[in-house]
Amino acid sequence: MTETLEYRPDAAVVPDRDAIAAALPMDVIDVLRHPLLVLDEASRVLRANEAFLRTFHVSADDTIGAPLASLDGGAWNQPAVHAHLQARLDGASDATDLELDGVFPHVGRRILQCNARAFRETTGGRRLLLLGIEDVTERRATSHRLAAHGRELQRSNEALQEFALVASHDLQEPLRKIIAFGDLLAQHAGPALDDESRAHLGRMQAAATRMRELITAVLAYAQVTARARAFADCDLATLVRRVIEELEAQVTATGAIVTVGPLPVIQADRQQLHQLLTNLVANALKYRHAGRLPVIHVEATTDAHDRCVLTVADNGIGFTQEQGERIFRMFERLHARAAYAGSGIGLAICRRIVERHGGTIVARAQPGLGATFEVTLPIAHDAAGVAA
Amino acid sequence: MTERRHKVPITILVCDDDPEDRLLTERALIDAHVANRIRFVEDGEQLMDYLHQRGAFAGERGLAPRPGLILLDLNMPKLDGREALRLIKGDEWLRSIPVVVLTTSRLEEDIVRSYDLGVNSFITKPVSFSGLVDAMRVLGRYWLEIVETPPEIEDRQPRP
Repeated sequence: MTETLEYRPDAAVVPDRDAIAAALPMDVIDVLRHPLLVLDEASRVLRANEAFLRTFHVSADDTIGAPLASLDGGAWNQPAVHAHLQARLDGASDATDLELDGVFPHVGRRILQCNARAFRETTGGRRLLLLGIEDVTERRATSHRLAAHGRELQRSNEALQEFALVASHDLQEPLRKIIAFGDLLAQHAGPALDDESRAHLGRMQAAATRMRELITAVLAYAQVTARARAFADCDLATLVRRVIEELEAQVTATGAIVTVGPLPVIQADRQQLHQLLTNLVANALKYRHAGRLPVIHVEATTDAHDRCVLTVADNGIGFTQEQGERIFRMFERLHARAAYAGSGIGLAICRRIVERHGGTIVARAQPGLGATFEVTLPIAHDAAGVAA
Repeated sequence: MTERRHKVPITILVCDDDPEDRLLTERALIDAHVANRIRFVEDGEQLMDYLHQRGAFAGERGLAPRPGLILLDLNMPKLDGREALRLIKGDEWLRSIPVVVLTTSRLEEDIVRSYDLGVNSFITKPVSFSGLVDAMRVLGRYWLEIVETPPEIEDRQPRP
């Protein structure tokens, strides 16, 4: 920042105001979108740009020549303003903005951010001040509203989380008893019942069991954030190997060939990644094609943004693109329960885990040919758990 | 051999605050033919009173015979199962009694904590009744038939 503004006057001798007009032609300060004043050493207004007149709903006649302190009904007559201007005249080059909160006669309460610069006029040699002004009232209000909204959102999110956790936990208890006593009834009184009554009892039991599965699923979903652990280094290769070992029975039963490509170490919640990988590999085994041996491949690459792109690809029954967008929703099922058991929550949990890690998950597939799930995860996170 | 111990039936002490669960456990023990004396207490405080033969269980021995196995729920009012477990396993006279936690909890921290406190087994209550009967049958066979535990010393007195 220079303290001296060099300019070449049009005429050799000009009155003060003309000198300024020559120094800062109208079109220079008037194209500025923020209000701007040119003041003399006594804080008298020499020039005011269009944006100033527009912002404060004042006329040039009322403004030019008036002391700053008397402008806008004295709204500018504040000790902080005088101190700021004086400091600039004294040569301070501090760039700190002055924040001004005042009531203006024509526009009401405004919050302004101002900054002045002193300069010396070439002709006449007076010290002048340029006072740049920005009206931040709306921005302040918006950011307050946004912050309040954010807090509200977080609160309601936590409340919802809490609700899901408590509700699903407390709902399980009576249900467990319905199932157990139903069982007891079927065992002890079953033989004495007629076929139809026994069938009714069976339907009740099946419905209660189904409800229990759903509640367990909601609980598992709610626990993704409720039981979150801190991120630590996770070796994906070790994790995938363990997941495959744990799914050994299904792998053997289906004759599946599971291959694993190179996998990196990333910072994540190990238990949640374990669950994510288990769900994805188990899904690939479950939706296998009846006409061929399942082939599943897990690998990871690094994308242009240095993120880990993990893929689980299978040659199973696949799905359509339209279905691919639905499968991550809670309780969404593509198939009848009779064909494929399950609660329809596995992939919803996957998405929630990935989102908690600041990543994304997408599914690509073709009906009858297979599916590929692509998980993009940050490799590292900062201390606050934000993707680095 | 095991025969020595089972001339006299062992008392199984069930500690559970939930009346339905007590009923189910009792029914399951009967159906599993774990034919023993079954006694019930409803919270940790009652459990400790029973074991120390005080309060409602004071007086004649026989009213509160020393159990050969305790089935302990974790979440209970007054004194919960974790605290009761800590007291039992910290008591030189009581710590040899096998304690099996039988709870609806499958929380990892509950499991780890219970074993830290010296629990002998941790079982999450099976959902189905037949599952509960199976669990009781295995428990009964293991703790009452297979495993050797210190004999009940009838003349050993509880500490005041």
